[in-house]
Amino acid sequence: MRAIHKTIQTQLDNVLKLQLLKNTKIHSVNIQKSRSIGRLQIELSSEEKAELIKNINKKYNTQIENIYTELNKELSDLNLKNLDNPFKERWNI
Amino acid sequence: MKIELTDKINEVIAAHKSNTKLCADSMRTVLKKWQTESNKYTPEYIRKAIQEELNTVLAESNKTDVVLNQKLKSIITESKEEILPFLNGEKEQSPDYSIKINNALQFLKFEGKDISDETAFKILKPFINDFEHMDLFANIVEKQVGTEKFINSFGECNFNKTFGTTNRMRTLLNLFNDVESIAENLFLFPKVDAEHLIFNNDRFIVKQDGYSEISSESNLINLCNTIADIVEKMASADIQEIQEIQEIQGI
Repeated sequence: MRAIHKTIQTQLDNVLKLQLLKNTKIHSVNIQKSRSIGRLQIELSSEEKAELIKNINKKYNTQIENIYTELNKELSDLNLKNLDNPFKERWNI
Repeated sequence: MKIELTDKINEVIAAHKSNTKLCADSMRTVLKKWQTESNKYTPEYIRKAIQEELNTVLAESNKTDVVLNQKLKSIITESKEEILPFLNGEKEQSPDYSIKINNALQFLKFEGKDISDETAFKILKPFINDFEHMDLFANIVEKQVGTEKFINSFGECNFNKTFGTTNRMRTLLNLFNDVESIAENLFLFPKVDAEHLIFNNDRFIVKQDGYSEISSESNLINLCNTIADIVEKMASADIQEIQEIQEIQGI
């Protein structure tokens, strides 16, 4: 039974790492002023930033969802209560 | 036996604090970003956009806290499961176990209200590591001798040799119940207003943990330290007991 707690903690650590990575990427988009196309520097509009942030969210939330799905499968096999993925609802809307 | 409950919980609390700080920093970054773009949009649009972004930052931070809370609960359950088998010991599987219990009950009844700690220990020695039965035996002995003889005026059990471990285990279970109750919603308390940021004559609020959350974190650590102390004492008492038995048996 102790092994499952180690798995839970390791997988939740992975979720936290992905969340941190996601926040770092979103932060760098927020402070980014322009993007490069070849030699050209094109200013980033707030709409473009919003689109970039949306894509980052989607990418990382999908990875987090995969972790929760895998973990919950193991928990179900042991007849233990599943963990809610707090990131799921948001990007599904 | 060393438990790392406090260290692990301290790590999670540190991660939560770092997350709260990151949230506040991100909120300030949002305002800085809009300062550079303040000439391009109407103040109304900027106010709405800033508020939306601040709400998003706060929501993301709250989600991280949910994950940290899940980790915290897993650590506590793991520790509880680690400690309880140690306290309960291996359950005897012998087919005559219930007969032994019945015999012990008869001996206890025979001794009646005059039973001493020494006699009770001799009768109940085979069950000393079976918490569930020892808990029931403790109630029976307490009823037989009366509470005033069972517990002294300092609230300590007079049958310490027999029920000392059982009482410590009861204490541990109660402590774990308290720990679990505190951990249930730790990190999920509503955040309170901390810092007011003014932008274009509009006021935006940076949130942080409230007093009740900080106080609960501190209580949780204290309870975990108490658990660790009791477990360590029990482990050393167990070693002493084993040595005493070995001496008696001449090993």
